[in-house]
Amino acid sequence: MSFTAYLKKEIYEAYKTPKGIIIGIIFLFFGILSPLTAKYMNDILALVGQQQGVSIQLPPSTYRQSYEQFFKNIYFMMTVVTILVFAGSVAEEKSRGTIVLILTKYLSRNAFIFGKLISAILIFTVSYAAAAGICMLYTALLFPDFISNGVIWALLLYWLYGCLMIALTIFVSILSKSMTAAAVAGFACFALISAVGAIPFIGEYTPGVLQGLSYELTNSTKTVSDIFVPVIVTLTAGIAAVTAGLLIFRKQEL
Amino acid sequence: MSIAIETIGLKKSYKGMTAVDGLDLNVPEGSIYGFLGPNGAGKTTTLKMLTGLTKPTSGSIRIYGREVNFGSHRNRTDIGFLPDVPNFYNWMTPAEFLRFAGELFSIDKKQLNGRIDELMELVGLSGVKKKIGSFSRGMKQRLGIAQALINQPRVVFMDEPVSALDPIGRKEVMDILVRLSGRVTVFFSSHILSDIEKVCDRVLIMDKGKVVLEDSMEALRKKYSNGVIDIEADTPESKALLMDELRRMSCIDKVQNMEDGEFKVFTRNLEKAQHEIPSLFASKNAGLKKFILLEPTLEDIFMKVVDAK
Repeated sequence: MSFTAYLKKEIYEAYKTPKGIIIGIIFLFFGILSPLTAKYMNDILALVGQQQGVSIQLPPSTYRQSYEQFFKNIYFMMTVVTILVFAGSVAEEKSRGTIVLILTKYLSRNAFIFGKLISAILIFTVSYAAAAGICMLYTALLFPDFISNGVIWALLLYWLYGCLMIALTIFVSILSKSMTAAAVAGFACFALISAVGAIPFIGEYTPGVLQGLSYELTNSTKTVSDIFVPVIVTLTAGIAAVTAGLLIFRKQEL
Repeated sequence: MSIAIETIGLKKSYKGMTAVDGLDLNVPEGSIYGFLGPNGAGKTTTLKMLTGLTKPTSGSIRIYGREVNFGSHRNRTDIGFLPDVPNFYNWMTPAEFLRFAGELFSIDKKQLNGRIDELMELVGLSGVKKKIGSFSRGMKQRLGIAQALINQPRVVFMDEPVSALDPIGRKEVMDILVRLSGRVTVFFSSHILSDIEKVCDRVLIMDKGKVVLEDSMEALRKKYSNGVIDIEADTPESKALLMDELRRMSCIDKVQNMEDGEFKVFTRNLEKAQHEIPSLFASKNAGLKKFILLEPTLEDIFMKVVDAK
């Protein structure tokens, strides 16, 4: 019951403070913008060319470009927003001193961290699902052949990547004493994931390739069986970050 | 009387520096226990160990016989804690925070509603509906006391509850503490000695991590009494006559003349002087307007023991 009370407070807090609203607005913005950009970018470019006296011939855009645009936008923005919003989740409670009031109540340290993690995943999932839903809706309206099985898997891959970023952000937030330090460490994790993803042979099994795999699933150049290993590695990395965070937090003196 | 808080050989070291060195505590149930010491004496570290927030290097802690383990929440139902500068979620109202705190203890909704009203009344925040973010320091401190009491703890730990407050805020908080007397064991640290003196039954003085003194206020006053009596005779004639007589008494060391009919008597044997002086007044048919035993203040005692150390 104390865990439920804490989780309820965390979710309520996201919508009483700008956190939840920021994530929601940014995700929705890209959910709407991506299909529109895909649909009209070719027309805009052709028009600009015409004005300059240059004839630009581009193939008609498809639903795939709409999703590609969405993934491209959301990959960077999702990472930045996730890190900035959740970096302070534990570190800020420590620096402000609110943690001391909470952890002298009947709430275990594990429940405290799980409350942070689950609420962050819920807030992210709702915002992401709304953005993906809007993107799919606009894609359906603008492109007649709007869906393939690969798109759903690609969306799920992005969701998984977002959850990993949340787990890592909370992990570095546990280690840090301030929100700024946690945010810097979060971006370092992001850079590390991207760097490892670029290493030949090894990189293709790490979370860093999820973005590329999403494009390929949307374009049907890869199948669901191809994503198995990086998904397992991503899940393992997420679980490892949470477990390590819990173990460290249990030993932290406040 | 049972023991509320017991520590044996409690020690905390940080990288070669000992913050608390072998603290043995026996805090009686229902007492208001003052925990004194200059800055850096180890008060906050001790409170953090007692509340399970910091791990002792060695030693043990028991609250009502139940061992306190670092990081565990098992004994939290018995305790309430008010840190030196309590910080809350600024977007909440005081009632919302108290409800949240109560829900963390899984207190029944009906009971919690009543408890919130009662505590808001106790700390003078009844009817306050504004967000905590706009609270003054004093209001936050009072809310801090309320949240520490939400679970009806048997022991409340307070770290410097009045140090950061203005005189009005200090008085408000001290009044709340007086109202808690006898209902709950209060263990509070402070370096404002006059406040401790007003409300505490027992005090412990700590310096550089070590206990330098621990006793009841009454025993301390007796032990550190200077044996000085402030006397006022009814007339100047009586005063002159009695001062001469008093100087000849074996239990009196010195008599010091003051303004009007007043004079100070420095005793060698206070108990004897307390009996003989009134008798002398009676035998000389002199009126005694004032007879006050000048007790040492806690500040006097503190300075004496800390300086001596």
